[in-house]
Amino acid sequence: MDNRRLFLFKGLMWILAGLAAAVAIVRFSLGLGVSTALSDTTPWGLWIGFDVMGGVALAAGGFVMAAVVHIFHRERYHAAARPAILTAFLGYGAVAVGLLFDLGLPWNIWHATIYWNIHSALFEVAWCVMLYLTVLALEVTPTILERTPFQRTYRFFVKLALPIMILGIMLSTLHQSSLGTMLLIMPFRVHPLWYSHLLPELFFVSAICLGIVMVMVESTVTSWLYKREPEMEMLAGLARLASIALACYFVMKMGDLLRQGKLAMVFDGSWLANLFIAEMLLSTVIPMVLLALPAVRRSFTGMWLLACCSVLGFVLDRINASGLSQVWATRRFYFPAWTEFAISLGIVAACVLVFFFIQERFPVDPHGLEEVEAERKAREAALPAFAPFAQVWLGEGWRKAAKVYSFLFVLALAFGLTVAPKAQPAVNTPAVRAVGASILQIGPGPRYVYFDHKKHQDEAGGPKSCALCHHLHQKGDVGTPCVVCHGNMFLPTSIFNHETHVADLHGNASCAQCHGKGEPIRVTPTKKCSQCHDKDMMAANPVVKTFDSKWAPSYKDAMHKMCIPCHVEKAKDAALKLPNLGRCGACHNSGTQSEKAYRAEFPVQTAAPGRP
Amino acid sequence: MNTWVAWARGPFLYLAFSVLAVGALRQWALAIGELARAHRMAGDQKVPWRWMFKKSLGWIVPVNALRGTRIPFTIASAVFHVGMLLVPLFLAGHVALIEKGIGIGWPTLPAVAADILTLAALAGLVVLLLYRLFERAARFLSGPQDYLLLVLCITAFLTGYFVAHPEQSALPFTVIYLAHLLSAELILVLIPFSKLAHALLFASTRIVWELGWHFVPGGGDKVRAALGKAGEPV
Repeated sequence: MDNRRLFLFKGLMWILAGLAAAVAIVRFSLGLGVSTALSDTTPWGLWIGFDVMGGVALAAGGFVMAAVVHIFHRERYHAAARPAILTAFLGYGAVAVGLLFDLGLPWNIWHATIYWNIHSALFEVAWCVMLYLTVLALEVTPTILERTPFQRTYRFFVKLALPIMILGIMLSTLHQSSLGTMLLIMPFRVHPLWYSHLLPELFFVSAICLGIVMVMVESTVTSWLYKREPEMEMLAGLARLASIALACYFVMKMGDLLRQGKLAMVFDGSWLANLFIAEMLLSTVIPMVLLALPAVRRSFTGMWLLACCSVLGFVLDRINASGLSQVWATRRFYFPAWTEFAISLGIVAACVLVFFFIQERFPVDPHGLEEVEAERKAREAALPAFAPFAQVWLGEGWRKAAKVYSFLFVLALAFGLTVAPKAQPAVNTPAVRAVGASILQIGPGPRYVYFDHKKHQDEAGGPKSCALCHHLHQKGDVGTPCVVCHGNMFLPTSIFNHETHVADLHGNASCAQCHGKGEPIRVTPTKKCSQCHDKDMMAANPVVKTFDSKWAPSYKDAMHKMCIPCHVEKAKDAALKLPNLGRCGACHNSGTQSEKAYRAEFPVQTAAPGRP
Repeated sequence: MNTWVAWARGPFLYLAFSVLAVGALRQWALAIGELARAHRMAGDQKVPWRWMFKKSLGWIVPVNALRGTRIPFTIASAVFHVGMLLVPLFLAGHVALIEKGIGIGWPTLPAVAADILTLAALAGLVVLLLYRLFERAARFLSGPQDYLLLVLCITAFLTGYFVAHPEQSALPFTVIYLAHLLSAELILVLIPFSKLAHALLFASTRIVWELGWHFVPGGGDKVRAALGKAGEPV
């Protein structure tokens, strides 16, 4: 606490963590709709781009340093190995936590361990994260055990270290690239400048670059915060390595663009192309060129700035690839809500705090413990200091820290609770009138459901079966369109028009016809809709239920409830031999059947907006 | 002015209650730590739990302090505390607001009783303030916080009285109302972070006090060593 710089920095981290804690309460109690700007069109936002994709890449320092020190035996980087592995462990922990925030049903996160879908790219990602997190925990264990009485266990883990390191490097190779693989399966979403068949390889190489510069950032920031002598020799070596690795990445990226004939796209002036240029300059070109200069490698500030610049650039690259570059395809604007920033920053802040906690108690860095010990001795010699306004003695060491930091945390938490959104903003997603006889368009975006009208008509029993689904005919309609009542995609729609009823039933004298005589007038009338409108509605059948509510279910609910039960039933029928009929993909197959059907029916409109 | 009132009744009220709730949890968590520490400091001495709890509870009853030299102080303090506990929680207007906000209500005080309690609490507060200003020992022990908190409580009660009786007030109603809202909310915010924390900690501080004064065996030697007087008689 005598180190004012460290104290202020930790205080800031606690404030960020407090704010994130408040948002976390909102997110887990009220859901994603309230706490994010995400939507069905943009389901991956800041949390995936920064926390998951960025977090994994930022943790690359662990496997890079493990390889450099323990496989290639570059002993002069030894001091950086343990902090790098600890950072990797915390980084992967942050990924897991970030994922919990982003998953709609976070309590199902364990599903990938039991329910195997070996065709899913996410399945590989999930397993890599789990295995590598375990491996990292095993790699961190010796650091924790070294100065404890459990020496036998410690020696066991030290013996285990090398095979574990090798396993860790292998898993990282798989995992860093599998994040690229995940994007490989969405060629229609990712912008061509980022999309490439080499995405897995590019992700892996950029992770190595990012690993090295991240270790530089870590080393410089720690020595600045703890006011230590920076390890210039090691930093200069890392800077040289970074420059070489960045050059490799640059050649690979540019060569790949050249190979695909996309180099001209870089300079076409669109904002995504400019974003690409900014990303490349920040992450690769500037640090690569400047770190190659020996003069820069002798300057602490220079190396710190360039390493930060590169880290920023690579994080931007991950955010671009997993989110921003898809805005191009979805044509939906997305900017993270402040709550999303709060969670992302809060997770990082929590990781930084855990890093400090471990660093000050365990031999992560041999200097760390000596400093803490020296500070403790200095404190014992000093007189107790009183808090300025409260005039109380706050205690010393961690007791003082607990009081001061919890004060900041609590204030940030309460402030966050006050400003955090408390109800979901009602987003109006109007449903679109179904077009044609074999395609249903869903929502305003390029999403369709293939629907063969004739087939359904034949199945249900010919022309007489219309009323099975078309349960309402307004005057002059033959099958009133669904959107007339089910007007909103996700929210129920009020279909009761009070004015019309008052006018039709002859004004104020008629209140008692619906509200009941002598009863207080309420929103919910005494009389049920069906008591008058029975003849207007089709009778209830297995497909459509009649209703007595002024709320028509959302378009989605209406369609799902009508289609799914029948489909599930038919899928069970072994004679039909259609076991997949009950699955989502049977209807939601945009890109294949529905796309073709759409084109066949509307040849003028060549393709969905935004498709290449 | 109405915007400010709306702000004080909306977001700032929410903030005040959040700070109070989260701050109270923090204070209690710290208090558990302090209790554990005090217990550890008591060392191998036998802790007289029964006697201690009895004694701690005894301090809550003001009658026990009605002897000695500071009787007016005790009475003023007790009167003020009765008003402070009953009026904010059971005033009809407050309960109506709470019921509107969270849907839970409870029985209320009659308006006359609330008025009497408010005026009594105000009188008690004034006596406490005078005591702090003019009693030698109290003045030496008091810092800015002690005066400011008393003034804040006086503001809250005085404005509260005038909110209930706007016809007696010289200032416009909105001004009084805003002052009442802000001063009361400031009290809520300050409860976890000032000497007002005794509202949350009255149960545990006494126990810590009773436990903590048992020095560790050989603690006297440590004190002497720390003062640089090792080996000298106390």
